[in-house]
Amino acid sequence: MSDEKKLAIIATKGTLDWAYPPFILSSTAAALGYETEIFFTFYGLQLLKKRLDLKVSPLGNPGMPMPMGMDKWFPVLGTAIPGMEFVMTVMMKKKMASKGVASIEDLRELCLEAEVKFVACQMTVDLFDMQPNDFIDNLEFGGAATFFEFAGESDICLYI
Amino acid sequence: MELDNYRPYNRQQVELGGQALVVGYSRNAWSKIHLLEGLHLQMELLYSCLVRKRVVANKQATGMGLCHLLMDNGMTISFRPVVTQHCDVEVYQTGQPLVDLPIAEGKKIRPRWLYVDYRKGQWCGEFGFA
Repeated sequence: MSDEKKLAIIATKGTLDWAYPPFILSSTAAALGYETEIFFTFYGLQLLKKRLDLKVSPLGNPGMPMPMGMDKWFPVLGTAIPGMEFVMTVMMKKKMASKGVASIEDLRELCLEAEVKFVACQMTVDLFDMQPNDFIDNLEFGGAATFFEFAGESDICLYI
Repeated sequence: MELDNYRPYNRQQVELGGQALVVGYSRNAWSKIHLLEGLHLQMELLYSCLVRKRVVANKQATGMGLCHLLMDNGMTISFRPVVTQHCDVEVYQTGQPLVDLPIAEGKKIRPRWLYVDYRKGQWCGEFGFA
């Protein structure tokens, strides 16, 4: 039996803020010697697109800190104003860059360099009429059964 | 490559730790090329709750990291993955000690590009993997 520990992650979200956890956790675990696999399903497939265009929205996101204490006084309806999503996305990216945080593109490449295995949910690809060439290379397409072969033997399994 | 976003004035392709690395220079850095001799630029990758990157120069560089290279122009570049004991968003300001991360055997984690700049009398830069 291998001594190598295994980490399995299910990534279901496709927004900018939710892209960080699966890539950070898997890149770190892989660097430490974990055998790591991420199963991207539903909106998580957005994280595998060749050209990432991830956004974050303040609408319906009461946990999101906003500048100038806006999360306390800015009306919820205001977060639906056209352009707010774009503004918030730009601000989030600038905040990350100012703290020296690696971009999603960087993190994804780090994962691939560290030999993290990416599995894209075939059902979701079919459901949303996506094409395999929409996605980056080095992917495996499969379903839950494919992923369970690995997840069932993992030491840590996370749902994100 | 994200290096293109910086519009480097000049580029060099080298090999660091067995993998190709593109080194781009700003116009300012290229004009100061005669000052590169003896310079040590270290690409530091901090694994924490948010994976962070920074380029440190000379006195701030610690050891030779995971891999290093002495370039033809006299500059040394190195790559150092590190970790802290506690997650701290102000880790660079608080001066919490950074410890070399023991990268697992066989994991070829290497930057793909390094951008070298010279501003206000200081060497600085960025690096990345994408």
